[in-house]
Amino acid sequence: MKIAIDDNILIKDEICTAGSKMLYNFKSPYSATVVDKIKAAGMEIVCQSKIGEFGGETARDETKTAAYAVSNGLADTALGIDVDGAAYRSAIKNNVIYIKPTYGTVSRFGVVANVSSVDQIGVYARNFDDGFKVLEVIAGYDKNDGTTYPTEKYEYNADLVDIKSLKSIDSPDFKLNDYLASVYCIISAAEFSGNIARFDGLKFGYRTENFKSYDDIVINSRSESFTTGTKIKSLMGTYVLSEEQFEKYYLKATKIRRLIKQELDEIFKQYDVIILLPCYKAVTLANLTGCPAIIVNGKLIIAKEFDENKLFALGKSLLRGGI
Amino acid sequence: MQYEAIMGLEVHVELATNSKLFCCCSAKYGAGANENVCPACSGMPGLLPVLNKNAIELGIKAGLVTNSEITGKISFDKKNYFYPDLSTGYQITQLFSPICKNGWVEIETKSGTKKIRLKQIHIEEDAGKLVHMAGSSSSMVDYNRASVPLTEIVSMPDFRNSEEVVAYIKKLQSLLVYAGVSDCKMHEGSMRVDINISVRVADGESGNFYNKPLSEIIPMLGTRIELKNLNSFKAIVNAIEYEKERQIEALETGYEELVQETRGWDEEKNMSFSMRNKEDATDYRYFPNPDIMPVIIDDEWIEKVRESLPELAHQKFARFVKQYQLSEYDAKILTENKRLSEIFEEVTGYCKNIGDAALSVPRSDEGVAPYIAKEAANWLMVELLNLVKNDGKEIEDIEIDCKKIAKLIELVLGNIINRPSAKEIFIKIYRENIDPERYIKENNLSMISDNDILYKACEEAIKEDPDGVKKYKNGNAKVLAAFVGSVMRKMKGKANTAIVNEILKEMLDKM
Repeated sequence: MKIAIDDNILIKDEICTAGSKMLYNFKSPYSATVVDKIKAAGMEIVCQSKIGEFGGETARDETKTAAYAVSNGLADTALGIDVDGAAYRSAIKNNVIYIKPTYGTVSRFGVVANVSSVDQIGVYARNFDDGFKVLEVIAGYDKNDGTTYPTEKYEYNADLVDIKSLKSIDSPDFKLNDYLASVYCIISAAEFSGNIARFDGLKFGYRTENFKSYDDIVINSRSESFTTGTKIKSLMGTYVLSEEQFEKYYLKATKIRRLIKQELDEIFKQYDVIILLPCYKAVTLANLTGCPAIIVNGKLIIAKEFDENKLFALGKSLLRGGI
Repeated sequence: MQYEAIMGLEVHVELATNSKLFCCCSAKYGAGANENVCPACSGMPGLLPVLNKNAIELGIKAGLVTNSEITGKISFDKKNYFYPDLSTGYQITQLFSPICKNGWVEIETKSGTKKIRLKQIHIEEDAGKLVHMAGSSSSMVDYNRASVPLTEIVSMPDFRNSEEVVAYIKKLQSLLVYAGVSDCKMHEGSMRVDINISVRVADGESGNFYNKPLSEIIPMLGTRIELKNLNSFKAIVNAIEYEKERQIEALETGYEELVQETRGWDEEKNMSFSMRNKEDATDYRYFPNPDIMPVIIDDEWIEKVRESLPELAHQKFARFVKQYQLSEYDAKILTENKRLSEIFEEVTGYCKNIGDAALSVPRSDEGVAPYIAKEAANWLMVELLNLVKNDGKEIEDIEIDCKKIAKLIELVLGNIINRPSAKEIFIKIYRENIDPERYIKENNLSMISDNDILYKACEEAIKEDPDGVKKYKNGNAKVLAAFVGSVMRKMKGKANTAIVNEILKEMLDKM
């Protein structure tokens, strides 16, 4: 199995830029847990695929992306983390599938963090058997990541699901629909601003030539290297976490996030999977709740936590032209 | 106008874990620059905090010995600010659900005992250290201390004077060292004290503060100053006195306007100086750290930790009184400091083994005889503590061969040497680690107990001082000591004082 790995998943002794100018020369002193697992399973890492800065957008050169590599047979599968829907979009554009497992299934150790409570390594593939095979290899508890579930090994099998009895609903009414985008915006910006705080130009990565003091190093290194998108997201994050705005934005967003999860759980009491058009709101629903999701045939399908097999079965049947 | 100072303390102590709070690096003090550093604590991308369970248990222990409520579900938060010694750009701490709340510690001062309330105890990671290079405008960063676990113990504003503050810190040291939570060494930075101090007109209201919550006390306080850089008891006492005076003077004269600020303490100039005021205060943008799942601390875990607590100071005190038949006063001094109590037990342990035959005291399996224990207690409480104090050291930092102290006690009680010689030897053991028996031989310090020689010396002494004899006969028993001194001088300090005393008394009474 040939695998491409997004540039924000660290490989020991390789330069891992995470798509940023800040980490243009960052040679990682260690490998991500998933990299070790892939190597141990005898799978081959064929290339580092490109991403936008810290994974927040698609790389400018489409031909260097994970989805493109899989679509064109340069790799059989690829690992990438969805941020703000970029991975889902890239999969659709390149006509490949993308599997995002339940949050906490795959270790984030060695992943340049973007939105810690959402980040989850997913798999691009041309078919579900390949995708879930890779997922089996990389999934499982990691002592280096306190947010992974204690399950040591995951086994995925589409045959365990009776596809005929699977209850699905297309674009259900969602009471909190109008809150999804803003809640995601606030939480992702807040966490992102904290995660990129370590990039200060002091210890590694890009350092400005223009400094007389510590403050200069931090301010100029960040100003000169970050993209506008990163600056805006970071500023928004610091704003919603500021003392005056904390309750109004951040705290409220975390409360609504819990309600969103509750509402989604209610739907899953009646249905096994939800089929959505992969708009921004749909993407944030899957990401904020940590539920597993797949992109197939231009659709986003979400299942309950740890119900990956249902997605597996349904995905397979859809690819066969079942619907 | 009468003023009073109102103070609250924030005490940071380093937790005595082997490894850091969120990675496997050693947390030991004193390694070379950046030796105890890994990608995690130096802020490399992709690293996630892995919580040290032992740190949580030490936090629970800190709560147990300070009568605190242990929180059932704790979580960790990010405190965001930029500083070169902070590798990740945020400190991981506990704002929203600290591990302990509502504790108290009882302190003892000249005016009696008093309860100091604790608002909370929380766990957090330390930052690295900046090393300023001499003759250069740049600094180096040492991340050894980065992510070393700390607890911060936050008291209520229950202090009124420096004596209470010192008593509280000593009490905390005793409690935490005994429980194995921290070694609490102020000069090594494993205990750091910040003092919030304000003055107000003494209107008698502050007596009621002890029953009030913080929200009701704060509006009744003056402008609050936070004192930092206090790394000795001397600095703490001096800084409190200085700051109290400065604030009172500011209120009385109006020459200086008091502003809420952080002030450092300059030990050399003996004055406080402004470090930063409220306007420069950082907005730390606290928020829950999504990389660390909340930790559930259930009763079962708390009980397990409670059972694992070693013998605590008050328990050791009770045992010392019972086992060694020491006075409560002696037992208290010996057990207040864990290291001192350990030295005491090591010394008496050796006394048990080597002392009995020489003293012709029947060997007892129960342990050391009470009068030997008392002798050991006296040497340690008086001589040792004095020596350590005069050297400006802490008892934790000294090395002393307890076997040699035991030997010394044996020699004193066996009347081989007299007390002045013993004191000299004690100091030599402390400073130069000499062997007492060899030293006695080499310096010819064995006591002269030969009755004929002593009789002669006593006769001479009495003959030389007829006035003294008169005084003695008139009932002034104190002159006996002068005669003893005179005999000792004649015998170059080596006479057996007990025998000399007896002979002199006998002679004088016969005259």
